[in-house]
Amino acid sequence: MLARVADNLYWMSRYLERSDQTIRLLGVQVRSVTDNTSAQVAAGWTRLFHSLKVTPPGGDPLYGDQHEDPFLLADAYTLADFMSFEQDNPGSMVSLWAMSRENARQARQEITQEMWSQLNRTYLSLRDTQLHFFWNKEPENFYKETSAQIYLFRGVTDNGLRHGLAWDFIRLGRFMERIQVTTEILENYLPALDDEDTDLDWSLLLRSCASFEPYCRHYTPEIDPWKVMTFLIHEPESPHTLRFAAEEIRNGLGRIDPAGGARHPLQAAHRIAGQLRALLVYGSQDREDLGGTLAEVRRLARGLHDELYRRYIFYPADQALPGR
Amino acid sequence: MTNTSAQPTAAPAFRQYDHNSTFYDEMFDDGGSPRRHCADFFETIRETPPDDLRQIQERVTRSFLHEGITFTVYGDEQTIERVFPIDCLPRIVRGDEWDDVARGLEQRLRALNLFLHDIYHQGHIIRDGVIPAELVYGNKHYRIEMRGVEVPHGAYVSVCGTDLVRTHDGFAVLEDNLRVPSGVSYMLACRDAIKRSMPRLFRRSRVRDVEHYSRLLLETLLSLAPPQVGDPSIVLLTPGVYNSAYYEHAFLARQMGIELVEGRDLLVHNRRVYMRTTGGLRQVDVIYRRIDDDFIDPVTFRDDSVLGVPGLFHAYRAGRVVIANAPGTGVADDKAVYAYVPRIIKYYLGEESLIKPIPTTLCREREGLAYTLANLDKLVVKMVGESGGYGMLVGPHASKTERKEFAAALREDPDNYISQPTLALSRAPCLVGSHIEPRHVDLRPFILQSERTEIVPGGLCRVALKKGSLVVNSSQGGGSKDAWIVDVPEADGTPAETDG
Repeated sequence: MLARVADNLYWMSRYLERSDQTIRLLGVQVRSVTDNTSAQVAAGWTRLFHSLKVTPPGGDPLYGDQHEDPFLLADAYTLADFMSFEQDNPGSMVSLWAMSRENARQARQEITQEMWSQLNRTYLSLRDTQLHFFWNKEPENFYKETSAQIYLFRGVTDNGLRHGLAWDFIRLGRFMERIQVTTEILENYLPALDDEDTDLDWSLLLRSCASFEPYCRHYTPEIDPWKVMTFLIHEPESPHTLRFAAEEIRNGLGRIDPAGGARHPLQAAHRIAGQLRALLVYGSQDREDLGGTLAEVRRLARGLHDELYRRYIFYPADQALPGR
Repeated sequence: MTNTSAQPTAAPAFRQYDHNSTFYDEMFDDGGSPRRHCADFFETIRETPPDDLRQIQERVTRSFLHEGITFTVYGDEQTIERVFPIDCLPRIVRGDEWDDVARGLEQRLRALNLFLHDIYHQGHIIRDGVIPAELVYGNKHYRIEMRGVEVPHGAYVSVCGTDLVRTHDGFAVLEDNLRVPSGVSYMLACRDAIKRSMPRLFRRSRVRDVEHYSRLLLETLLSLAPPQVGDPSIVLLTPGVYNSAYYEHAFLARQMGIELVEGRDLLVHNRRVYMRTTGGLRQVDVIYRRIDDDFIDPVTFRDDSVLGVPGLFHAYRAGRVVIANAPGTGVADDKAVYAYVPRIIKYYLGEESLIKPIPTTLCREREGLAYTLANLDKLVVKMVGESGGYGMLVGPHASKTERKEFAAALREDPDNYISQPTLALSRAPCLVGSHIEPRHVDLRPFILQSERTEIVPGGLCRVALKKGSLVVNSSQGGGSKDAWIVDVPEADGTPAETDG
């Protein structure tokens, strides 16, 4: 596969995953209005912007001492609109879809007609939607339905596309983005873990990571903050945990480039992917190591991305001349 | 039966149909009755409620939108992505008429390829005084770099799209597109959409297939590969997503299962061409390029091109890679050279042109210029180097001021213009809202040549959707239709071809 096209597929998938995370966080936030207190809702917006590393419209009051600013809550509409439909915000849902589609367009020869059609069709309909169409009716349902379009895209991908290189790069993009955003989300919940006075609703975190039901199956609907944290980091069978993503990334790399063993020296990318997995499988699960673990996951994920590019996309041409 | 032939257009959808015998009508004869090969189709459409037709039209348009079948219009200020307009009523052509046309197209391309070989080698045709040297060597599309280069099977042009029009006198060639003709994906997409919209009618109509085009194209490209290469690697070279035909490039690459590459994906080392893959560099043997000559290699041609591949032309001259179409074919589809094509056919093949040429006046000749200026209100005047409907005056439709301005430009640089009589282009029924009206159409069949010549029956049928307009180019408000080549049963009821 062309290196440029692998790059396009990887980013198509990353943008779509990021959009999925954004939509889910928005859905949770909208739901929070019916379930939680005003202060909790306001804190939720702060976490949302911090997790996605987006500066809210009108500057950055969220980073100062103005946590209790009542306008933040009153202006939920503006914040939601900014994160959903603002085309000048590169982190808005519609911008992320646009980027994903643009990357898909440049990789048309590698993806199926059904994949393209699903992506394009959803993008066109999002582009023509406005927040006020549904804000006063059922905003949560809107976000749920949009999420469903992403699940549909993944279904079409898994069942229509050859599980070859293109599929591997798409999956790699998805889990690389997932590990990164999920780590950010978890880090934003860290301070509350040691705060005895918090009234934080920890089910919001599970919902933000699409893991409420898996958690309830694993434990009970009794939400314990510590269990929630370790579940989202170390649980091996739920697709939105860090460990699950790390396993997927390592397996994907193994398929793309079956290196290792005596004859082929291990690539840097493989080495980092292995370290990442080892950290999440065998690493410390002690409370005092939690912050360090998350920081290390973030560092390794970034290093892995760079190595992927050095190995498959932007390699120097003179080292890659074949016999034929 | 007698009822329908007496008042064939009484159906609601046809109520506003203008039967004007000035123009050949693809569906109706001069008396307003459906032609025999269209009779069944006409009956069906006549009985279809106009709203159903409108819905078919909307569904087809929506599916084009979802599939991303769009093109880009370049304006002065902004570029816009538009859905390619499609009309759901096919243009129907009789099989035996098509067979004559196909023979003519094959003859034409064969002669033009011989012509190209000649002018890049000895130039007999010029020495024999059949065509003026300055028209060839002075042509801006003549590539001196191509002199002496041997092209596999002599197929300088391996993919050709020829624009045909029909008048009361039959089919005529409007122009040849020998460089990077586009539109074939729209032909295939139209066919696919129509099959889904009117499956039963389609099946009954005994329409000849076009779906094998991509396979034929791949075979053509394979046969161009250097013979010593076992399993040739073929790529399609596109200028990228911002090109108006990008949809088509991606479509063809997918259909053929080949890589769609951009200039930045390729590099030349030691006169071999490689593409950058995730697994390292891989050699490329055949490039189906959809980039103009000027841009393919900044070392040999335009040095400001960022679309091409430095050194590509050297690899080509060294025979390490094949480029299709070959560079330098534009000289043969020049609008001035067009006037000489019947003589070119005669010279190389000793045959008369099977498809009638349109009488063409060269403004470079003194009498030609005088004649053109005196008859500007009756003629179509075209700039020699332009395409896509740009730089052209349709005399009878132009205002006095437009004609005056054009006349000035013409006097300024007469070499750059030719004129032709304004043709009474044929019309075909098109859906306009909920009723049917005639609109002018042309037809662009695609001809493939390598070891042999292949033509899929049909082509891209372009429609001037604006009432009365003669300009079918998509950049100027044109759309397209499916073109059906149908084999009609003989009059006594026995089919012309049996299903076997």
